[in-house]
Amino acid sequence: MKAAWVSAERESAVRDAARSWRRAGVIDEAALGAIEARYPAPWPASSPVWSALAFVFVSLAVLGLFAFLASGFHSVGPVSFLLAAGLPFVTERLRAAPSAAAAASGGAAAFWAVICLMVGVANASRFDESAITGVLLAGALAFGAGAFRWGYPAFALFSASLGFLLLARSAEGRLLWLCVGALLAAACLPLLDRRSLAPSHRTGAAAALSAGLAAVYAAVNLYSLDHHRIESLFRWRDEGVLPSPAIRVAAALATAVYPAALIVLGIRSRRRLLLDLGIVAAALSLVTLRFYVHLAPLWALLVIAGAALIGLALGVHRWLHRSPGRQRRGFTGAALFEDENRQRSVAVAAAALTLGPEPRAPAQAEPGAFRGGGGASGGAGSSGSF
Amino acid sequence: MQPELVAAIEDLRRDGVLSDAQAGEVLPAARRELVSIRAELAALLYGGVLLAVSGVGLFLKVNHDRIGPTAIALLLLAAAAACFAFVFRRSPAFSWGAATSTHVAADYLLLLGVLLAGSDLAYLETRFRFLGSHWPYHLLVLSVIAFAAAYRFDSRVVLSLALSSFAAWRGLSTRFPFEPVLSGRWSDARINALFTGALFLAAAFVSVRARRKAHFEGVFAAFGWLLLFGGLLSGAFDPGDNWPLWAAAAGLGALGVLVFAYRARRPFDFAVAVVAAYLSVLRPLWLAVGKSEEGFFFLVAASSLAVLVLLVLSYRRMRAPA
Repeated sequence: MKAAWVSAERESAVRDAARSWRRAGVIDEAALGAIEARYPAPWPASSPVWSALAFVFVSLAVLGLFAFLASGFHSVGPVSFLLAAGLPFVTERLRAAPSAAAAASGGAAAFWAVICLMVGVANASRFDESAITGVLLAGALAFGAGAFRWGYPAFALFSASLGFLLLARSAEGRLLWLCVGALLAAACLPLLDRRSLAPSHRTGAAAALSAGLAAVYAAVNLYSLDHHRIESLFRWRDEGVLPSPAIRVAAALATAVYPAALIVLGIRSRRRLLLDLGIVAAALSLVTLRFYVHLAPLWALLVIAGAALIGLALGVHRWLHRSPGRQRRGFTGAALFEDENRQRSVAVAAAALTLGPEPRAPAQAEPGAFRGGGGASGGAGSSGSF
Repeated sequence: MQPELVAAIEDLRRDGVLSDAQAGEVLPAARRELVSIRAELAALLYGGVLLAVSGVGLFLKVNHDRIGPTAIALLLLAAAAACFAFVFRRSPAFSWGAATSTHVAADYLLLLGVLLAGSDLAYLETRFRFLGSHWPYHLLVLSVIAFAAAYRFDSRVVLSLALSSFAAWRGLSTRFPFEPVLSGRWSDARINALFTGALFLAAAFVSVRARRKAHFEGVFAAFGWLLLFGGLLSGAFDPGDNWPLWAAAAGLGALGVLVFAYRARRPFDFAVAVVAAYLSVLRPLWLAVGKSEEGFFFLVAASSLAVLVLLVLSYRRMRAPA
């Protein structure tokens, strides 16, 4: 990243924090004004709505242009490489634009540049099976370069993910996922607090850390081992080689211990990322357990798990709330300086998307059929057919 | 930890911009000595609600013939009542304004209570067929219950459930209102969509004008615009002869909303209107280029670039301080 960009991003982080302090009532308008005057360098603000809009229309523009040129040239290859070479200039121009819409357009242009490069490489290899390695390698390198140059954290995640897909093509794919995932995580962890890095590079390191830890979990998970999930990613037939009993026992232990280790590490280091990854891994391990051990009917497990999650959240909140200073071990259930309105908007959207009832069927219900209204995933039977 | 923030706070304290007390309040979070897990608690609660209601749905499907209807109905009622009681005990008194502070779990347990009540209602209706062939009316009843709960306990999450239940009663989905446009069905639901969208928008207007839960306006308006444009655009893509009228109505409506959202600085409304306006001109563009694929691709690229320029220019004005 350019030095000016890094400096602007740092100043923007201070301004954003100051606004959150103002929202929480810690500072007044005068103090906020003074801070904004001291740290004025322009840097695009994050905005989900504008970013989504920009991404949609950049995508339409690139795809329209691609299709137009490809039908003119009667070939995909030259057009792919042309766009892969041209779009980064757009990103370079727009990356530091103070407008979130312009900056998001730059990000989308960079994304499509990498996709075009991957299409070009695939076309050069005539889209055959051997092209996959080249495509994954090109994508991993290009996304990595994009994350380094422009500081898009999502690119770091894409780069790491494509890198792991590339490793999965090796005969020792699972072992590589385990070793490289652990090495990547170990390398990224110290970068999360390094002052010399730009804030977006630190976030990129967090994204790569997540990919590494996820790869390790995928490598050690018992279900993944038994069903050759990594080995069969690019081999479309099951080789049917069963792992040895000792390896299965080790995988079963790791499936149980790994999420707990992440949660403990997250609590000890007060890193929410590790805590969140640990919670997700724990949920996956419980699903794995359910696959192998029939503890109870599915409905009972769902109800018990749901009640347990609610109980856990209430218990932790109560425990923290009643602690001295409403905090314990450096954790609090209070909002601190987060934007609660944004969190609430996410909850509204999530509820509308997942728990809203299905529309009534146009035809009348047949007598005796259990039909109602309610969600597909939720709705608790107030919907669909039973 | 945010190293630049820690350094900035120390600089600001040294230069007197922040007092010692203010710096002491914000420094622990910047140094990661104090971490909020409120978002994690909310995610656990949401996941819990999702799993619990899915489990109850499955339970009713598997066991509704084995266990007596009275027992099931009472069980669901008791569970819903427990949720409502929890929320009632921890919520502030009713007010037409926004509640000042609510418990982190209030929204989610209220949501669970309403969903369990809805399940109970659907189950009873199925067993006893009170409504006969008018069974979709139980969605209206669910919507009314959710509305009452949303207003009493000041929950925008439950309000969204109320609106989606109402829309479902009218045969509409609020999950992806433009889906019928793309799939070419839904012409029978068009009038319902227009009517329901207009009703939600009217509710948004009244909320603000009457200052009755004015902060609910955003939820009403979001659902309203999505349904209204979903209805208009379904006409614009209809295979019938009247599609130009619908396309013109969608385009003009979107233009009106664009101007309104631009002036009022409302990004979500602006985004919906931009997408609706774009979709409304796609079919005329396709015809304008004589159904030539090459010409259409060029026009898609050119028009998308034009929209991007509009977005960049509009952003400056909409983000500027009022």
